[in-house]
Amino acid sequence: MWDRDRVEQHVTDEFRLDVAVRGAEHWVVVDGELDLATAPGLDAALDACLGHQPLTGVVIDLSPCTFIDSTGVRSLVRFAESARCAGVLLSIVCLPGSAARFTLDLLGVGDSVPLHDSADALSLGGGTLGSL
Amino acid sequence: MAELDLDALLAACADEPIHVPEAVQPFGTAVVVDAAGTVVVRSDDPLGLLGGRAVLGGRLSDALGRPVVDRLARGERILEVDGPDGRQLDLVAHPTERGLLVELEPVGATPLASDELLSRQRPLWQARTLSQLLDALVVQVRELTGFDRVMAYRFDAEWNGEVVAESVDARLAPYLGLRYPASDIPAQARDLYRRNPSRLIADVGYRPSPLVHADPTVTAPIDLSHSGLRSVSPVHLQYLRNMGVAASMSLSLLVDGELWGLVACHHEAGPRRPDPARRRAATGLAELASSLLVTVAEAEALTDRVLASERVGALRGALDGIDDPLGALAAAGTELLDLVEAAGAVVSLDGRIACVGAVPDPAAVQADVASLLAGRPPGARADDAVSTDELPVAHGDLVGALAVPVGGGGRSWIAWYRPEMVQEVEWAGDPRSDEVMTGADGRAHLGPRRSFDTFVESIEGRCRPWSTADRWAATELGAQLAASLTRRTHERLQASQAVQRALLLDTAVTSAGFDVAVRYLPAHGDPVGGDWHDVFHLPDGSTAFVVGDAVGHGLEVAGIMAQLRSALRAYLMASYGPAESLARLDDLVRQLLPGQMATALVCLVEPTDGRFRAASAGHLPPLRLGPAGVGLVDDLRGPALGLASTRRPVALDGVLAPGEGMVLFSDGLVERRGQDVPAALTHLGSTLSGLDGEPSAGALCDRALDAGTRSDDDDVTVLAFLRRPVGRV
Repeated sequence: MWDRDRVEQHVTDEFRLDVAVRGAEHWVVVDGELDLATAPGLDAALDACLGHQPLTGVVIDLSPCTFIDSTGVRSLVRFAESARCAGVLLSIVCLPGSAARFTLDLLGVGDSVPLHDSADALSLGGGTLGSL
Repeated sequence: MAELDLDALLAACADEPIHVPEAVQPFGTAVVVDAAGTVVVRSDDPLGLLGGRAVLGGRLSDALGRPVVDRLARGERILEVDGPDGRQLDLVAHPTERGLLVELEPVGATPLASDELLSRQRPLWQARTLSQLLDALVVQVRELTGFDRVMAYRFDAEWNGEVVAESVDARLAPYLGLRYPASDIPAQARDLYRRNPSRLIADVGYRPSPLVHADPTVTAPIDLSHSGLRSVSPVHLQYLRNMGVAASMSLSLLVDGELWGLVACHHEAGPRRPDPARRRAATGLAELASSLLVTVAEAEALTDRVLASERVGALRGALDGIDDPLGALAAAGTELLDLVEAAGAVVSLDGRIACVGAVPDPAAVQADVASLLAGRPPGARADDAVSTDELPVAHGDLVGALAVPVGGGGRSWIAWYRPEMVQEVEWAGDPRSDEVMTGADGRAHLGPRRSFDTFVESIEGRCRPWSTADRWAATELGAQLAASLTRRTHERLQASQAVQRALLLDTAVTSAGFDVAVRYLPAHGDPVGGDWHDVFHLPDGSTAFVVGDAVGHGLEVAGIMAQLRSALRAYLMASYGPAESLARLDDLVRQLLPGQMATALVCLVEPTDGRFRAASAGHLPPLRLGPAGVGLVDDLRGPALGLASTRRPVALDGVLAPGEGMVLFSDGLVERRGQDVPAALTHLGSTLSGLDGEPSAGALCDRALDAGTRSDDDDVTVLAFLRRPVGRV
């Protein structure tokens, strides 16, 4: 179902970033620890998404993310603002009970960024993460 | 001619009662109205603002109408009103002993746009150094008011002033760097600047409008301390004319209620009266700059320390794993001198001595070090560096020294030397030549200066001053050298940085009625993190406990952290309460620091009855030590600062019994990698519950740091406070 136009990967020992593009929709999967060291990689990947035309929606999937610090949260919040200005629909997937979700809830990020419990609830052109 | 006693004349000048001149400047009209609305004192009305009404013994409402008088009676103090002839008037009122002093002047042709003040504040908020702040201030005040010269003027300990920032019309000669002697602004003028933050002289050639009392038997003058129209001393007017100034405005820069400096605005092209709202906006900018001065100075000191710590780090690299630190230090000669920009250095380790660069003979150095360390200033710690810019006995060209002990025992130390640097000070006129003139009464009195020709004074026998950052770098090197000599652990080095940091934030962690303790550990390899804490008293008698965390690391975050701490303190001091203060801080972050994020937790506690009110902006909840043991205050939630959140923080109220308290902390305490934060919080709570007896705040902090939950790569702050048991307050 998921026809990949393009896939990019940023991989280190503790961190992996996959960006899948299908038409005008981007799916960014964050795997591992999102922190001071790895957030710049996410910033660059998200900026690249915004430079891609046409673009209607971005999903940031934090399901495999094991740790997120305040620098990582700042990256998400800054991108949410950029996406809003660019008229791009942003969805963030973060599993309830996960370490990342605890941090996002503590900071109250859910009020300004759309948080989803599961990737299943999202339908990007009929594709799901599993079909990557 | 009898010999003149210059000191007596100076004293007489300083005694001139300038706050009660019984006259105002004619760019407006002043009246004093009693409680019944009757005009009891009135100045001339050269601009006809009152249209011949509201005469002495008449009523103010005759000129301005009943509604305006009603608003004044309700306590309004700044109004825009319609004059009898339809002109828009600016009205400012101040209470005096005789009644309400009401001052009127016409609204100017270029009133203030509604968003202009905010846009002019922004460059001040963005300043990272003192000179950036003052440069931004003079530029914004000049654009706001249109004066052709705006200077920031800083007082030294003797009240001499120096022009430290200037924005000036390109056709005029700059005054930047010039100094003015203390006698130019006498004591009673400085006192008035403390009480009234702005003063305008719209035209130095003005003819004063005397104040006339309805009751001629009244002799007590009207106190014009808070007046905007107050007539000034003729001596000062002559001084300004001698300087070629046609109009002037001064704004106070105050730090902790003391006069730090002034913003001095001059107009040489002719008289100038900026719109009253613009003058108030300029006064507001000066007040903002005043409140930022301390913050920016703190941030600048942080910057200096980070740079110094980088230099110490470079030297330490040369010492790591070396068997012969003395030889290694001597070999690293240039780095050792560059550390504090000295001409020479002497290192003594257990009595063995090595020299680099220009130094006196060893016996003389020994004596200098002994006397410097013995004369350590009060409050300094035993391993702090001590310096002097002027040794009692100079060694040829070497006149200043800096010394730091290495460990205890007195046999190990480092000393640095600096040569003489003749300092040239440019005065605007010779400060020693006061002018004496004979007045109309035939008696001698002090006249204003006529000459402003630059006078250069040389100061000899001193070196370039050692800075706080120099002493800090020396102290740090001494501590690290001592640690590597005794093979102390890395933890110990961190502790030394933590002490530096605690000193830097200068938090007096004492509070009547509470046992308070704070611990701070910097992150590995990063002396400056985003954590901050604050403990202070509020005007209502409660004590504020704050822990915050700005996102970011290093220099980027140092200034931001200091700004947030200072702004939050200001909001809390203004009695906005925890939730509203955090909401205002959130607005400030979003407007002035876009893209920045921070968390903060505020708890205000009343020491007498233990009532508390707390609020959180995305911060980890505190642990409460209550009747049921130690538990998380989990219902204390609110969005972090800088999110575009629609939710506002909500305050939580409660009561702490004597002996109860709270532990506030930053995320570094519980964000260890591979560890679940909720589990860490639970573990922390049970660890603190396990303390025997009545633990002190210090013991709680230490136990929290040792609970095994803290992060290796984030800074950690723990603040604990306990209400003292009754009878031990």
